[in-house]
Amino acid sequence: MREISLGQYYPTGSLIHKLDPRTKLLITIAYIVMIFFIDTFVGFGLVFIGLMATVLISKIPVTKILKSLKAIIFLLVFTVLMTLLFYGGDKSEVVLSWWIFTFYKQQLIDCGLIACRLFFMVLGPTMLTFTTTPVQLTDGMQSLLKPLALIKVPVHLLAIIMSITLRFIPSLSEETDKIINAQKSRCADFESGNIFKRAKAMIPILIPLLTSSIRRAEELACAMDSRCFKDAKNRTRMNKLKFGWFDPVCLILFCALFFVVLWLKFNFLPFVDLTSLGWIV
Amino acid sequence: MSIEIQNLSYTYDPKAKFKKIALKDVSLSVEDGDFLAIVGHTGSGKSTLVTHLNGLTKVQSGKIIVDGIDLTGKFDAKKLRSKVGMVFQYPEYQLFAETVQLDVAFGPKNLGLDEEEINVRVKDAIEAVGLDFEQIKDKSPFELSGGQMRRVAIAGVIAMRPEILVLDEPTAGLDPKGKRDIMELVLSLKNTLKTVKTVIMISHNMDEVARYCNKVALLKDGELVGVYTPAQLFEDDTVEKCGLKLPTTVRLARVLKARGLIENDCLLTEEEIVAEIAKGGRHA
Repeated sequence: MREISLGQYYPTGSLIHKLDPRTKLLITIAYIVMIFFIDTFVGFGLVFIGLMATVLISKIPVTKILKSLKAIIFLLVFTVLMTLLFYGGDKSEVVLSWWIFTFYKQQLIDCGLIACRLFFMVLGPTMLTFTTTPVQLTDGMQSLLKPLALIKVPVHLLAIIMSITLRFIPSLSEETDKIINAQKSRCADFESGNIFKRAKAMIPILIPLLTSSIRRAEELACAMDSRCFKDAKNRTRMNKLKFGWFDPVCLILFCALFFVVLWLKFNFLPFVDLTSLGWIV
Repeated sequence: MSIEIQNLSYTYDPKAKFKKIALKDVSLSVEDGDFLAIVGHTGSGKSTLVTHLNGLTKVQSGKIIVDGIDLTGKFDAKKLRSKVGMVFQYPEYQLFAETVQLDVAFGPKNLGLDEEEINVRVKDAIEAVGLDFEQIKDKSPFELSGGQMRRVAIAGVIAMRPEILVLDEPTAGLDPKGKRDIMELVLSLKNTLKTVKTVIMISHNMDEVARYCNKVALLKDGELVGVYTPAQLFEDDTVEKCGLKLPTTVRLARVLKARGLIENDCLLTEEEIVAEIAKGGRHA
């Protein structure tokens, strides 16, 4: 069977790769929340240091990571342009005036912050998918969602649905290749014509693919039924999730970072007054 | 209308660390009127070889010439694919249109033929695969039986009037009667349709190979072991060394010969073995 790379997992066997997926999931979720609390460049600088450390430990080539950011370049440019054109904030300090455009100090700062926020927002989850396989991710999610079973959410069923879905992706992708080849043999043309023509040319692929997924699902359901599958409540697993020594280290370091970020934002420590340090803001 | 394959090699993912070699230095020629079987164990490169023939797989190294079209450089894919019709494994899974008629017309339509010509070809093709055109043309392909669906799918390729028909395990997943019906159909397509001159078939079933083919290409781990007539191939244990079974008739004949009941053991069809036993009976 042809190997299909799902997502962008990049195996190097580093400490980050070996982290428990639950640790990585928790940190990533908290990281996204944290990004929203940051409104200074100093804050982003701290996050940058943390991320650089993660990248270095993970041994993933930096070029590889930058390549995965290509997709958001458009979004980044678009957002920055919009902020530059339609700015309605503090207009007290003019930095530059040229033709019909006037740029204010606060406007430029806001632009930079928005760009940073987007950049870091994408980079964090990217590191997660670079260092964690989809199977590990589902296992981690299932484990984290376990408490929901108390309010009768069928977590075990959701988990088995997720793992079956993952299992079927390579099969369906193989099937798609086959169908494309078969229709190409009948001189189907997927490459020329306008967008409507091309969309229409997909029908001979989509319909067989749809019928074959339904067929496969039905066959699998019958096979599971005939082996008395009832629910997955007491399923044991081959690879149990385990915390290692590096998991608490990462969690503590991350909590420390989060604490500093919150402090920068809310200035709640009585013995140091941030407002006296003007350069931070 | 001949096929010339010279020193064809193919590697999956040539950049990957662990190269997977699918074909190694394969040279083969197929002539007009041949019924060629390509046999080999799973993963021996059979499918990769045949998808080269209509340009679905690009030539990496080596040379293929199909009826004067050189597949090494740029070529007219439409022209090639109208000459080489390809029926994939389980072709019934590729049906998609609302009616049988529309599905069979898909290929001819893509060739850019006019409506009248398309209609004639569709009718001819559906009848050639042994179905009743009037009765079936407006049905949805999804309400047919498995055997009928497979016939409709084959008709979809026949309607393009290829000169070379390539089939990848046409009898896979059928019961013995279904297998025989489809093989008889392929044979009758080759013998009765003026357009189909050459048939190339991938098969795992040596009984079919022994009965229907005049040439057999044996592949092992991407290399061509040799091209034989069925009688040559099943004379000794070559196929068994490549992980395949001998035809049932040959296995039976060998047992009978070992017990001295018949003299000849390379018998390829049921008729031949019956005749040989009848002859042997007289000696006894």
